[in-house]
Amino acid sequence: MINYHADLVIKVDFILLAAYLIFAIALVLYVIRRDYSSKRHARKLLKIKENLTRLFLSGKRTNAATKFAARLTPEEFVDVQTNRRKYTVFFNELEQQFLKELFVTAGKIKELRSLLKKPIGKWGKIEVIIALGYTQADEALDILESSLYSKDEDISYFSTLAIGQISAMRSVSILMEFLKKKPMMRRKAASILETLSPDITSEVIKFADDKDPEVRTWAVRLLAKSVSKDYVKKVEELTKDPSPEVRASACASLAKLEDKDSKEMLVKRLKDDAWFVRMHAVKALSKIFGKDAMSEIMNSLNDGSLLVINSVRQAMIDNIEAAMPYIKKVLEGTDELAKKICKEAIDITDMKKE
Amino acid sequence: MTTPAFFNVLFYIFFGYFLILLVYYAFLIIVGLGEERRRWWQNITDDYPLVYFSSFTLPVSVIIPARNEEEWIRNTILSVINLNYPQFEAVVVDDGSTDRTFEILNETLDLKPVTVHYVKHFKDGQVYSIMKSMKYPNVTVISKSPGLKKAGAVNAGLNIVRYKYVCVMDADTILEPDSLLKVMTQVERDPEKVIGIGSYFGLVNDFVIKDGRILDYYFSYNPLVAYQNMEYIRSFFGNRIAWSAFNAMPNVAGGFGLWRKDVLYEMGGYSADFTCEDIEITFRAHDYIVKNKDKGYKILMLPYYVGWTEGPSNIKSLVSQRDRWQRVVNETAWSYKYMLFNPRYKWMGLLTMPYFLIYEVMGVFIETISISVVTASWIIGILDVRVFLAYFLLMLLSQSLISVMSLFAFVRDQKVFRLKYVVYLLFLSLIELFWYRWIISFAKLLGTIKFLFGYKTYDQYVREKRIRTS
Repeated sequence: MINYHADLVIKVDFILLAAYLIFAIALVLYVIRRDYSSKRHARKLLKIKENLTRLFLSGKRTNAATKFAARLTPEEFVDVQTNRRKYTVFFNELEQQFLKELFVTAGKIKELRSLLKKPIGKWGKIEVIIALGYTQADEALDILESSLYSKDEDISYFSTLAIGQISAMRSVSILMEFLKKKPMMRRKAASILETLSPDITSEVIKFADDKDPEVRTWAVRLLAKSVSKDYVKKVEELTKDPSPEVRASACASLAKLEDKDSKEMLVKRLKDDAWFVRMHAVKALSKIFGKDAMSEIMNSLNDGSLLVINSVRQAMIDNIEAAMPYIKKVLEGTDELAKKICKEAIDITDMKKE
Repeated sequence: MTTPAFFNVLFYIFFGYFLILLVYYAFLIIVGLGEERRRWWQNITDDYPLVYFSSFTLPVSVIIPARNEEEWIRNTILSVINLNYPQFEAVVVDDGSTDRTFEILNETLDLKPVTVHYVKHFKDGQVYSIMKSMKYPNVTVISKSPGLKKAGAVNAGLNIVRYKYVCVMDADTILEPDSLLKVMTQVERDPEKVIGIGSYFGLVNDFVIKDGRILDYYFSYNPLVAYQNMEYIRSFFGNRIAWSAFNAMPNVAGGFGLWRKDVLYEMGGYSADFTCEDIEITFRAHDYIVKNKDKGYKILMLPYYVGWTEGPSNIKSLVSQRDRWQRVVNETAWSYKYMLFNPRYKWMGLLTMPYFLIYEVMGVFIETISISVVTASWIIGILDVRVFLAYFLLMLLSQSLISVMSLFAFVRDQKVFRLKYVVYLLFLSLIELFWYRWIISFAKLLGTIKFLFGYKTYDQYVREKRIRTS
């Protein structure tokens, strides 16, 4: 009989068995504890909801109300504001607003500021950052601005989101500056900027002449959200920008702004060197001028880019009656691709009618 | 060589293999625990409504290749239509189905043929017709000839999709309504760098499904299905999440994978030269990353449930599936062998490729031979029962420990399993070596033999059960 290394293998077996048992027991205990904690957390939130309702109905900002808010942790505050545990307890807008007021009155911003300096772990800090955002207090902006440029990707990201909760002109300037400095976060910053309630354009316009074409592109996209028409001229100017991305975005923005004075500029862009500028020019002409721009749009049917041709097709579908005389001419011609595109436009229009 | 010397060599090979595997898994699980926790926090704290309502959110094209999927196609397409995502299109590619797949698509979508200028960028076979849904304007169906496997069907979809991000899925995968939103929120954190992204999906067997929505998440107690659940957990939570932290993820699974279209275009689309397409395209993407190393591209894996797919519920189907998987593993490992220990590929060459070679390709031989030799030696009387049991326990416990560690990583952040199911999986992990492991080893051996003979057919397994609707 061979007894090769049996003693060593048995020792290793014991180690593996012990490790297995430790993990298995830990796993079972974890699941039990997790279920218990979820229930306890739900009970806690329910209690918060009851207290909020009671305090709100009493109609007074009493000491009891301030004390109640002072006892809340950032996590609980965020739970209420985001409804992230909505499957257990749901908070309506009134409750959220009321708690926000209590939270600020109770001096929690100061407490959150000092909490950020303590070793509460990265995600603990992020909870504090999010809570600061949900207070919607201007004084929180100083703290959030400093964490915005943190080296940690997540802290920086959630600080951006938190600033987006505070609808103030200062938030706009902070986020525009951030958009300029952090290329990676530009889309997110722009998404937040478009949700902010003050008219952001007076701040955004400052970046329309930035050296970086990507910053100009985002600026022109955001200008399209303007409620005031004062900035349309700047967008029109940007259709002549040296960067094709900026020119394309300017055309798209003019479409959104439905600028009736932009026809000449957009027609010029139909001859642009970049295909995506031509595509956006076609789309913009179709959206703003519809049937009145069909003759210009139809000239792009023999464009070198299929994507431009597709946008012409879409323009024909959207304005089929105005396009019909041109379509007939094309169908009598010899350009097979143009004929095919015209047939597609007729097919899709018929299908839509059905 | 004398018998003791032979055993000595075998001992070092087997012992070394199990020890390396254990240490490797333990390392990946520790890294994965940190990465999963990070993603979990991101998930619960992120502002999804912001992404949903933003006009800057990136639109997505979803490609659903389908061949003989009459059982699933209706629920799959409805799950896509029900997605909570602001702007997306769905392109279903009927890859020459011979069953009722097309009929069901027509009933569900009310299709009408349209003339579309179709440009063949990639190899896709013959396209018969292109149809638009009258009910859902963002849904298109392509009907094409079979023969180029899923790769050809995906390529046909790629030829027609409009958006920059393309989600490729299986026709038997039911998506969670917020799957795209969750995944794209991660992409939008750095859209210039993320070129591919996958996420976790589980097994749908025994779930109650109606109109593309899951009504009851009932995890199957069929041991074959439960073992597959555990394998998915071992694969996603045991190593893929950690590989993702090192940007060395070798497989964005075919059931749900999101890619940047311009990158797929530059890579030349999917290849039908392999048995399956998902692992190969991911390896090719790593080649692309190395060729464009200044751009800092990333391929990510997320731990969020994005969808549910059907797993084989009988041994024949399971063997057929795993034989196919093994073939594609071998084909890919062979085609991309130059990545092994190649410092240009960084962690992909130094961390993932060695695992692929040692565990995924060679593992089946090492495990089968080690168990067979030890068992045979005991039967013919070379080893006494104590030694035999010691060796057998070593194999059993190392496998079980990997399972329990992965399960721990999974259960910590995913709250889908109840205590009873966790205990059931723990029990199954202890008896895996007695039967399930052998089925998988047999399938892997079969796959390896077929690979050596150059067999590359995509064998679709036969569906056994009807979907539960109540």
